Amino acid sequence: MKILLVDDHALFREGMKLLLRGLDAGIEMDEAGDCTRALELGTRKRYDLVLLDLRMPGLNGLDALAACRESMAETPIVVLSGEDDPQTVHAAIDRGAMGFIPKSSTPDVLVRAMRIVLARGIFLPLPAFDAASHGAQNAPRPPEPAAAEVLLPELTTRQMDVLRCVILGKPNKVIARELDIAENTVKVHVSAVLRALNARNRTEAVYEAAKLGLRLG
Amino acid sequence: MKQDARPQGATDSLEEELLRLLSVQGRRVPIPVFLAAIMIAAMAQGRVPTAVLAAWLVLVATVLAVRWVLLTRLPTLSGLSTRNRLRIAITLSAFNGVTHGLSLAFFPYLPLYERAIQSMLLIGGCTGSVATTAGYKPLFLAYLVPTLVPLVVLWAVSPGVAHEGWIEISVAGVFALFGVLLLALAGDAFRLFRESFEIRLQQAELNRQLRSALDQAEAANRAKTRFLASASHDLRQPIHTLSLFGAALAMRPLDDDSREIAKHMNTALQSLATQLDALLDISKLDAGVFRVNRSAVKLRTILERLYREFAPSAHAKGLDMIFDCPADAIVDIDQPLFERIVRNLLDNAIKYTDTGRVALRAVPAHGAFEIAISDSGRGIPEAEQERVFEEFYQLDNPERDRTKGLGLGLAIVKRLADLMGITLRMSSSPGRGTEFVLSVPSAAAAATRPAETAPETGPMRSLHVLVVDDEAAIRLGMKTLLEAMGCRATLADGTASAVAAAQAEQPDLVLADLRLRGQDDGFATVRAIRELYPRMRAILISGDIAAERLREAEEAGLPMLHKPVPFELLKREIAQVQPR
Repeated sequence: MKILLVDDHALFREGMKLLLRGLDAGIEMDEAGDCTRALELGTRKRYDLVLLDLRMPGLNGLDALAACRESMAETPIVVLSGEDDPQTVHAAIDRGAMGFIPKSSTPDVLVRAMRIVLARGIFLPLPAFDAASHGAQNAPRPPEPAAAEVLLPELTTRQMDVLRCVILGKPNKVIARELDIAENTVKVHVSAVLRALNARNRTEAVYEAAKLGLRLG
Repeated sequence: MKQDARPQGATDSLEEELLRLLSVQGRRVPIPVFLAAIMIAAMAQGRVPTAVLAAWLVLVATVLAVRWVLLTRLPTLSGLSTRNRLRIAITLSAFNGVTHGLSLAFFPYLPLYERAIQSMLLIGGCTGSVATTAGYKPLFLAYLVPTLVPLVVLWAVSPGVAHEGWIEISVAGVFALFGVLLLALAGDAFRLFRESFEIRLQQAELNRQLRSALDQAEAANRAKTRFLASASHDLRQPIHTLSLFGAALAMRPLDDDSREIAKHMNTALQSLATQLDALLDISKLDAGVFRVNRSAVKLRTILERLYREFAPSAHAKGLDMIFDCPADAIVDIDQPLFERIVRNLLDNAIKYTDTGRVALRAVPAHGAFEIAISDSGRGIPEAEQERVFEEFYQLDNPERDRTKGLGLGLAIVKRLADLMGITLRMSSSPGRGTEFVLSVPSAAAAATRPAETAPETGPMRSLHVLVVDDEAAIRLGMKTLLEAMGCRATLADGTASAVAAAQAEQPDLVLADLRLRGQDDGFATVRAIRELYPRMRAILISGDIAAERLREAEEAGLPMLHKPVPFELLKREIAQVQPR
């Protein structure tokens, strides 16, 4: 698995490297100290995961997220941030992040979060969960990630593909091009997928998928 | 609100103050004085030609009117020096005195009784002028001399009407004495006037000093907040990093002793992080930088999760943990802040309870929900109950063992509850336990879903946004972001180029970074562009969380977003702007 870690603190990157190596010896990790460097690496190599800090010198925050989203459309981006208030989490997901891990998590939670993310699941901090899902039944701790085929058996294979793209934050136009289907067809699939997740938009879909413990790919 | 340090209407110099007083008196005096003049004229009617009386009355009225108009204007007549304005007032006083004194020309033709009344009226005028001139000698004498002096002389020289001359001579003497007495009184009055003026000046000066001391204290407080805001980020960073190393270490194959060490290290680290957060929270609460974001949330979801979070540590101490909350309770609170309150209270309850139970319960109570956190612990002695909400106060920790925390928990709880307007009650009896009750407002179930369903994109199409930032990377990032929203972006690196760009094509909205290169800043940019287009919408973007910048923006009526700018917020702000 190829991971790109974007954080301006070298020591933090070192710690993350150690932690990830402990979790999975097969991880290949590149580091970037700022967003510009990350974008440069992203054009050279295709990563399976980007771990992105929000507070960095230069291009940072949601702008950095948007820029990475733009240039590495295929790669899931998980935000790794010192801030963890529900609004920031929601904004990050809205901007196309596929997960959010607060740096202030206890070591246990940190390990669990990384396990979920490495298994292509979606991790969101619990308070963010409540803020987004207070209308629904109470949100249990996310279960171990399971494949979409198991959790949402009513979806067709094509819809599963669309679901993965939607969660990754790709616009309909891109999905249509990639899956080689008409944009209108994509729209139909997207609404079926959102209905299956009981979500009204992509951001809600990410929260619902995290709650279900959905595994992508 | 800006407050003038000086009492209202106060002036810089004594003379100015005198002019102000004269303008007030000038409005009060004319009517009674003119009535007195009419009375004198009426008494002289038939003894003095009517034409003369009429001419005199016209003269009196003219002088009174001119004096009234001029005195009212004098304090604000800035073209003249204070000395000259005062001279005008003195001249007016003299004219007034002379016209009144002229009435003594009728004196020889009046019978004794009428003379007495005329004298009474003139003496009354002189007495009153002590007050209306604040006893200021030049003003006072200007009136007194032309009235009182001829009066005394006339009484002394005019032939007796009915009696031997001694009564007239005595009256003249008494009047002369009275004049001297009035002079002394005027001196006293003026001294009082000057003293009260000086006291007022001193008071104003004191107020100014107080104000500046207050400003300094506020500035120091703001500096503290700024320091803490940056310290918070800088100190948290290494803690996060240590946390990572701790996690990495715990995952490695370790012998039992090393595992124990790693475990303790992690515990100490968590305690460090918690205590740092507590300290920063207190400072931030005191500095008033916490913003309360209320929304309708399901109470049970939050409480149940907190219950699950704390149940293991309660059970580990052999305590029962009781949980009860209605399933449909929806409350209007700031969730993270509310959670912090409950978490602190639960933490304390478990810490100070050795046997029995800890309970977390919520019950409806007309329009609100009462959340009770109670324990069967050691309780708080009555004498200490007042003090538990103070900072750094801890029961049973005279040796100040820091592993027991800093004693900030309840201080934070109290401040947070105050901030959110939640009432907090405590009842405790030693040996039997403690109960804290929070009363939070319930929200109508209909309002549960907040405005989460903001329109995706669409209405913001073709909006032309001018982005001003000195960092190229941020400009590009903003452009990407705006284009993703369907806007069109023009980029500028400072006020000068922003104005040039705005001249070339009028934008619908200006997004300016607060801090630009050198002396340039976002305020300047917006000001310059508003000179071209006065009603231009503008949003400032700032990396600062300093409260003073926020206030500055608020005063300028500019919305301000903080970096990293939440996409939602930006979208909401932009959605309010209509393309032309």
